Amino acid sequence: MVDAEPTSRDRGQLVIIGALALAFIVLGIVVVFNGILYTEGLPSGTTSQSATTAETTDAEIEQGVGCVLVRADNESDAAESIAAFGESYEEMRSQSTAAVVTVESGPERVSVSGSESANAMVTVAYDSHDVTHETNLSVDESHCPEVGDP
Amino acid sequence: MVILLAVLFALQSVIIMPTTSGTADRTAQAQIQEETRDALGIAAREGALSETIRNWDSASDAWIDDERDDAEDEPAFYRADQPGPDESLTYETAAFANQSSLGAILESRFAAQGWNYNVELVAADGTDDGAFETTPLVYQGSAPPDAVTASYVVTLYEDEELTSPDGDEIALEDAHRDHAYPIASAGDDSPVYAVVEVRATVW
Repeated sequence: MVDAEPTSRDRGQLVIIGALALAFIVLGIVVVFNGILYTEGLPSGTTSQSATTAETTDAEIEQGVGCVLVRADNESDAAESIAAFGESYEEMRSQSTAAVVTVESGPERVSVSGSESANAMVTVAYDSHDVTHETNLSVDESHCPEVGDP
Repeated sequence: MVILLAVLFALQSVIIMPTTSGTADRTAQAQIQEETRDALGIAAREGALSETIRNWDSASDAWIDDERDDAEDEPAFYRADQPGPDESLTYETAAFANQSSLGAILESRFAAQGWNYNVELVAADGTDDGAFETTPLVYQGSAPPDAVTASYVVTLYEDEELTSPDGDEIALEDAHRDHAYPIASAGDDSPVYAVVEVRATVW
């Protein structure tokens, strides 16, 4: 029985209870920490699946618009074709990625006639959950790859 | 009680390795994705990607040595001889390497190292409902959840022709109408025929 005055037996019980409590705390910490690390290691899904970046988008648009310019006879034709290209491109992008891309140009920003090679200013806005950027691309005929033999 | 706790504890603990989150860890996945994207970008630079997706032939019996008499000479990509999903013919990786520069890059970097990949074309199907159609070029099975994808968008033009040996001077629109070329025209009178996404999935 426990007396009012502490004996050596009481101190022994205190040590045992303290040791047990400490052991359970340590075990608990291990379990919690393990869980945290494991959650962190799981793949976070969409980040590894994003199919394109802003730079690729610019390259694709430069190539697409460049080849339109090679085939255009005058400014309004070229602007119309670029608009059609932009529309198809935006539609394509919206189904394949979580990013929104808009392509804009206009007759006043396209120059086809003259001795120089045709060129166009195209505004590309790229918007995704982690990147937002807007660039003005200056595109000319040299962006269209020469078509050779396969 | 103590034994129960010990069992619970043992079940809870997981050994965390670099591969816990998949066959390859996230850094490696990001690198593979970047390499795939670069391969597509390089192939597109000289216009080779556009040639690859126009490499369509109206009769596959020219290169498939089929002993069955009822073998149909269905149209397919030139020298594609592997049955793919939805009964189309797809490339085997070595054949794809022979036919396109994208295939050559993917073969030397991925196929030769034991990686698998699918390459497919995604394009609007030409109807007004905005649906998209997928055409497999290389099909090595359905991709696991930890596969990475990269894509490149190629523009085709009305005045371009098929690039297979027999396809010379067949315009894309005629090819779609007469030879079952899978990519439909965007449908208006602009010089842009279609915008096609080339999508590579590597695992």
